[in-house]
Amino acid sequence: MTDTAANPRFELFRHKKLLIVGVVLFVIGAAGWCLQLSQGLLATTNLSNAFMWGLAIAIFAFLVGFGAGGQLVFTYIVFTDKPGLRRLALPAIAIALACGIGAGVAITVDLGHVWHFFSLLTGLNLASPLAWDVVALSAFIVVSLIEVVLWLRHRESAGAAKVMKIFAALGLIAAVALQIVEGLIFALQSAHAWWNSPVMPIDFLMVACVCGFALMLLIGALTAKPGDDLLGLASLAKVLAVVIIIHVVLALIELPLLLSHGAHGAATLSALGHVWWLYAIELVLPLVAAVMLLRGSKEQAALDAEDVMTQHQKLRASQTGRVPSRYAICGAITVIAMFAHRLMLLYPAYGANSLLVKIPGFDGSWAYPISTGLYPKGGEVMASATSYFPHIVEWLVALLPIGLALIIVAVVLAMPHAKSCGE
Amino acid sequence: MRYGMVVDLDRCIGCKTCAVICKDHNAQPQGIWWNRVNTVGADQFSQAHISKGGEISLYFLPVACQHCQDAPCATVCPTGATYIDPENQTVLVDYENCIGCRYCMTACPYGVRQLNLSKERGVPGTDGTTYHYGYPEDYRRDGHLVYTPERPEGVVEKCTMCAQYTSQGLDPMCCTGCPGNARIFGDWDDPESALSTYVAAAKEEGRATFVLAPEYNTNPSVVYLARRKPREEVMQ
Repeated sequence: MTDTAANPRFELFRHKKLLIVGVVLFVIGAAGWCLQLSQGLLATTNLSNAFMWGLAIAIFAFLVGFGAGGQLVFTYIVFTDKPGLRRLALPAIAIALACGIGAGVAITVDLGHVWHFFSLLTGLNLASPLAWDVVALSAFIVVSLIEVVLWLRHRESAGAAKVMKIFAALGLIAAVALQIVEGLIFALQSAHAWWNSPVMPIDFLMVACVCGFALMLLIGALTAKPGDDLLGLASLAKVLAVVIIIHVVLALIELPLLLSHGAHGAATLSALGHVWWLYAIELVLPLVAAVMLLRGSKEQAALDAEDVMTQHQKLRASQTGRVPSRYAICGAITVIAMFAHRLMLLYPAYGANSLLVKIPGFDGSWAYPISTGLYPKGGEVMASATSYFPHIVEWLVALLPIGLALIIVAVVLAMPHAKSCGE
Repeated sequence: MRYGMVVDLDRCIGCKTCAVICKDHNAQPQGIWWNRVNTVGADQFSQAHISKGGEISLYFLPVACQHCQDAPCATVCPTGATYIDPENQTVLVDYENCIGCRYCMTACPYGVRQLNLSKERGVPGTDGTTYHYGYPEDYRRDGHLVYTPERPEGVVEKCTMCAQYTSQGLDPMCCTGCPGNARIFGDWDDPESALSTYVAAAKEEGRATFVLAPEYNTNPSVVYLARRKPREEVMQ
């Protein structure tokens, strides 16, 4: 008889459902991408020259947020060593690695001419924020990979805690750098008032925190077993509530800042009005989650006054499903809101024409129409803005990086020693 | 040497010859317009602008790449596919290096860069055949493929100031074809060039020049000569 603890082995199907879902999504996405490559962008996307970044960019930003967020949670677990959180360390760093790679794939499948991909390696223009992103994302993936290996193989060895802390700190730096760079990709674009803000990079960092803590709270709640210590999850919930509030405040600060862009800012606000419902999802759902979590933490505050054993006992006793359910709901609605947030990066930005011309002999300012590129499929030849809802093939292609990320998580969790990590 | 262009808005009659000849000579795919003529104040249909007072105006503004000296598109291009030509300072795109990330399009405040979304080569005729037009050969500049009649899909393109022609000592086609001689091409660094002398003469007459969107600090090489005629005199 084999002792799996003594002879750990790779069990690909340890998380069979996760792996199957990942493979199915990946295959559908790959088929969609093949269709896109063979049929062309005009036939398989609803992009135009007026709305040239679409769903794939939203998915890219979405995955980057969860990648950096997973890393932030991993660092939090390593440094705080909260009871009951250690079981989430491997999933957190696996998500960081998987979403980092998934984001890289998302941006790759979005390239108009992917066959020139190697120009990125041979002619990288270091003045470009996109080049900074290539460097930051690559570094992030490498650090995450090292952390996965270290955690799987050496977390219990002598001196491991110190080494893990060093790499968790490095991972934190990589995650922060990645989010700042992602924010700068948008924030440095003066042609778009919606993005051109000093708040953008800071908010990208906050959104990563929201993404990471929300997802890990959701996973932690869904995988909690009767008798589990919930103090660790409670601490995740507290942090999540705080970062949600900071994110919402930053998002609201953006609105008055828009007005500093004059007519362009006003046009952007008007474009924002057209997608108010998406904006409401982005802001209201996380706020609801924050309120629910803070109310829950009040209950815990009452327990904090008592001795530790009583506190644990009470938390265990209260685990009739109510607390994990609340955490799961809060995590889930926040994840949905973060997807809305990523879509909201695009709509107000492209809904407002970048150039309101003021020229001698004409009173006021005027947005001239631009060539949309849509004539061959019967669209408007010239327009100031074009509506956008992703084409069905764009939705399919979006499944590719998500499926790949799920596969990577399933594979990491199937690695030898993963089971003994308590995941 | 710094190639540039001045557009005299007093001379522009809005005939769009510049847009069409540009499209023809540069083999622009269907739906792509490197150069277009807008009616100031009008919507996408470029009809006459009617002011609040009911006045009709026909005030035209041709717009193509402004060939900025501080070009945000060149700065943000991750592969260096968009670059400023060191010899004549025009902003060019190397079709073989562009990955189609569209970052340049988001960075350009003028909305003049376009992604070739189509896979189709040539233009379908009414008789079911496909026809082709444009300068028939590739043009490379210092190894960069800056013009090709066989345009790759998913690559961003824009005005090159007709690099394939100016390299032969010719003017860009929009200048050659303009029936009103509203567009004058030349070298800003040469005080004797047609461009410099035209602008100097116009300034002597007290005419105002302007560039599009100076607030973006892009330092364009395309300059406009403002209209002298008041709007109400243009059309009754």
